[in-house]
Amino acid sequence: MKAARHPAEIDYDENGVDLDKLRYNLSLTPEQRIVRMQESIRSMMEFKHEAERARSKETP
Amino acid sequence: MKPSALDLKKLLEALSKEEVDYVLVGGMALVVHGGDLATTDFDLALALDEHNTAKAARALNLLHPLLRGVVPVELDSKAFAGEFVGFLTDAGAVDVINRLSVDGGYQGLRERAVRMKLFGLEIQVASLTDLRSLKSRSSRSKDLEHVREIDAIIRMVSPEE
Repeated sequence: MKAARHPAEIDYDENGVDLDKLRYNLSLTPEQRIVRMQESIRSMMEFKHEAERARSKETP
Repeated sequence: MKPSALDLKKLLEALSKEEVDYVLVGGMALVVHGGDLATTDFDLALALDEHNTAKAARALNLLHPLLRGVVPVELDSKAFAGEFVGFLTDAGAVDVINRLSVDGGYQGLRERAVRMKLFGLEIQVASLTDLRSLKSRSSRSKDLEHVREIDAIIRMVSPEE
């Protein structure tokens, strides 16, 4: 496994685009890119629902 | 409101089953090209002849569309008449974009689209250049972020451009 990189080592372009992430994505197949994005969104939605549920329990 | 499932395979299967003439555009098309920005919906451009919009309506009806995320609707060939029409479906939120700010409109978009096999299905994805044109007409910060990402991908995959 590769050692984690220091944030200062991450390669950004002049507009702040993370080029390391794009290089990683380009190393995947289009299908893998879609699956990865869908999993990220699913996790985000689950987290959002959990947070909403927790907030509604706090409401008197 | 039902939760957004976001299942591109399910959407593509429905479109393929009805042989809809479409091009995948928007954030998910950019993900296909290698983009990293999260997107929570699917944007489609359609051939707007009545035969094709009827097929698109049948395809989306297979996915139980809800208008504004809550009202069940039965789509027909006239359902995509607006500039921008969106439904929540079993595959996630689907937006149909009719105002295409690209050379040659839908036909141009289609001719320049990248053809690929995804989940075993032949699909057409808007070219990076056309995605850039579509995104750059918007003033939304999210779209401008997409433009910056598209520029970076273009430089990576075609450094001479």
